[in-house]
Amino acid sequence: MQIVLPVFEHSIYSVILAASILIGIIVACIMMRRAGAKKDTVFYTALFVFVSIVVCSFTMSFCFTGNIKDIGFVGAGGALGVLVGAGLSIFIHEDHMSDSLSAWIITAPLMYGLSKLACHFSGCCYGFKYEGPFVVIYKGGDYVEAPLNTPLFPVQILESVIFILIFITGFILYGKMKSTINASLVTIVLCVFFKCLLDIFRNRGGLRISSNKIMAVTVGTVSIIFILLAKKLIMEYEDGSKQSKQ
Amino acid sequence: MDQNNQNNNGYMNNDQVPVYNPGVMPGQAPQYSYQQPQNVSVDPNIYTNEDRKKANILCIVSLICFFVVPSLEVAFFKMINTISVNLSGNTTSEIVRGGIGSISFMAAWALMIYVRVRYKKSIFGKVLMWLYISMVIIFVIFIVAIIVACGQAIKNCPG
Repeated sequence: MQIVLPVFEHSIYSVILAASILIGIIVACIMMRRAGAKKDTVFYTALFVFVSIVVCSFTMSFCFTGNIKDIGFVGAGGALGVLVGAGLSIFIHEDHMSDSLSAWIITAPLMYGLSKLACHFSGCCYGFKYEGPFVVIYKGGDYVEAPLNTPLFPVQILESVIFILIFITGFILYGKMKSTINASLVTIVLCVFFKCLLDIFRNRGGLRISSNKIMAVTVGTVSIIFILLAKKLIMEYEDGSKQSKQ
Repeated sequence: MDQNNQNNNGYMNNDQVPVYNPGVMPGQAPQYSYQQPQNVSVDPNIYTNEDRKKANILCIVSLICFFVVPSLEVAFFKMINTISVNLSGNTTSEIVRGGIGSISFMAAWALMIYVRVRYKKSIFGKVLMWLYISMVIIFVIFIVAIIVACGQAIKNCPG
């Protein structure tokens, strides 16, 4: 079975990417509201996380390429943006802190998974040469980075499916686990593991230590350390507020 | 007082006419509602002159972070490039440039949101919020316009 990509006049990358961020933000807002957060908290957190995703992504791509014309969205930058935005917001609002932080972290793989469909259609982040079931073949389009008329491994679709499954796992754990922060930690570990694993199937990836793997491990480690610190601070804050009520 | 008490307890009024009061049954103690005293100092709806001053200072710092710091940073790096060495392409310089700009930008947003949460009645904070939101909208329209016009902006992953 072959997946032959249609040729578009212009790249639809940015449209799918914007839609994936928007869907992720809406899902996180619904999760926050269901956890009991106030409307104001949800609105300002969503606004700040959106700005944070854009700023962190653009900064990271600027640091990589060094050219302001080449800035764009980077997965690790987006993940860092979610962490910074949601992490700062919970300490500003002090409203359902652990549930709010966890809602955003659990939604991050959904945003990433959907955004990989944008890579699939625009022909970037493509897989290695491969002849087997579900091969991807690009026929044309000046925006396509991948080699044309060459059977490639469908790594972008595989990433989409796996990261959406990680989101579903995180969402179920969020509902079932007593501490929602632990659900977000499990989600981060799964994301880092699968990001490194799937990088092997990319054209520029393989078994070598690529920049993608380094970025994934770095952002994952920073996130875990930040969440553990945040968990401690949230517990101290909740103990303090309980004592002041008594 | 006595009359009121009798009525509240569901017995009789002064004219000894039976009065039915379904709220309190005979022999049951009257219920009093008790309201917990609120901590006035943390209420964001109370807005004193001192609060206004604090909110204004935070808003000014936010504006500086939003406009002044990135402009100074760009000017500083242009000056260094013209005076001494060309730093474009140097990874450390790109990280420093990108880092300072984005941290100051994020700090501006964080301060604005802090003012909106802690000092809800600050007009400066409200104006700042709409200014920043309108700038985000202009940015989004600008990107969409470039995409529609020539399909060049953000057409695939940069890395």
